Amino acid sequence: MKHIKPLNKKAKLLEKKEGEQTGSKSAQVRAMQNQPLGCSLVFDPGWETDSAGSVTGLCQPVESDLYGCYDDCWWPAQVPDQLTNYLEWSDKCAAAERDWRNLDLIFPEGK
Amino acid sequence: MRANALFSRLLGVIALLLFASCASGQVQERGDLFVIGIHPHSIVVIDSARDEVVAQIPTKGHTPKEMVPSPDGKRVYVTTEARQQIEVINLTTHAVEDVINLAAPGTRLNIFGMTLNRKADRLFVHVLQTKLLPDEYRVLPPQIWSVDLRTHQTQKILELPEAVVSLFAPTDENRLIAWGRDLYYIDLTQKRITGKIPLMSGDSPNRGALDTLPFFLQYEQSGIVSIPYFTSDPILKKVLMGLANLNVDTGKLELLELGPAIPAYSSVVSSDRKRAYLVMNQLVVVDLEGKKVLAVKNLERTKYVANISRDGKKLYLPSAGAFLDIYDTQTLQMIKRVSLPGDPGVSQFRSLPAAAMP
Repeated sequence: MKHIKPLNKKAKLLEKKEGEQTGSKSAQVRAMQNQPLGCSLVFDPGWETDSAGSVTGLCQPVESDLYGCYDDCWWPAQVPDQLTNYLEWSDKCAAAERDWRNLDLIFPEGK
Repeated sequence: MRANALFSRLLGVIALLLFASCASGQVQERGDLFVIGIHPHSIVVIDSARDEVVAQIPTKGHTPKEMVPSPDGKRVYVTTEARQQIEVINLTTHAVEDVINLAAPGTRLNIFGMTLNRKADRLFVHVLQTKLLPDEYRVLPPQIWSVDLRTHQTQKILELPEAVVSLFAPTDENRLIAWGRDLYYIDLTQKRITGKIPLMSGDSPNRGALDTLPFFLQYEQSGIVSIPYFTSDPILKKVLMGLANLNVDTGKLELLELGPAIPAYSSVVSSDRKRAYLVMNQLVVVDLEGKKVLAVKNLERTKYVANISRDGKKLYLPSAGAFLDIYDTQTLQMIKRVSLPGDPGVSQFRSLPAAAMP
């Protein structure tokens, strides 16, 4: 990508920012800025595998961890995210394990 | 004969008075009160004397997260509505007294970290803001603000490095402590960071970075914020665990390495500061004086957070589910399971100060 040169001010800023991030030990994923300690940064397994590639270190049982992931967007690809988009998702379901049938499916807008 | 009757009647009265005195003593001997937020929009109060939910108080916004009790235990300050606002909940009247919305028009704001100053007239909040412009979302630098509880006026204190999630007010009113990737000491009069203890940025040839998750904070009983850390030993190439224990009053941090890693979300320290209890899928008991793991017990299901009774006899473990399990700290056996009206999610679980006890 070195042959691409920024032409306008915004592109120059982006290149500068990119350089800062890749050259710094504390580079951050800006897209996850509302989740300061993203799941990849902490000793915090998710729904797939734990740190040892196994499943014994995952939250158990998985359905009881639904709101843990929903609340602060630990795994936003698998459950709706409460932090930015779907505040009302749990309104009809106080207890996920008991009332999960009341949870609605979420589809991206415009699909 | 009449004197004997009078004497026995007098004895009866004394016995009655003694009994009444003992009985009132028993009534005054109350347990601890704990507060936790639940889905979709409530907080619940648990009384350890009965080990029951004694109040459910609806909040205006969704899913409480941060929970900060006032020193007199009469109020609790709670972030709700996806961390966008602060609600002031009166625990005596069981009502929301005030809602503080900090976001400026055209800006999305989330609070990650909140604490009350020692005078209890001002909140410090760590805010993440995104400016919602017509053609872009512009992320603003993280900042710490001071919020006047009477007027709701805010004052920017300083900008911070990214990834801070919790704040603490030490005894020195001119200082504030922020915990994120590293631990930052802030001088409120100079409005700048005056000290830093490297955690994630502290890796060296001899020591790996210390990875902490300072989301779940419960330190009323001991004055010690205890956060499990995980690190990779650069020489042994093994994942190790330890505890990063912060004395909230003094700001002093102590690191205790404990050996091979056992996954843990959070930890609570007993009021005598001799034991720490770590939770996730196991309950891990740590001897803080001997700096070693004493026991590991498999739990039936995941726990995010733990709290402990003032006498150190009972552990309170809300589940990732709509109930709370109570364990005996000596036998590590479950004493009781208390149903909750909803899932706690990632809410904090705080003990109310002793002054709150009725």
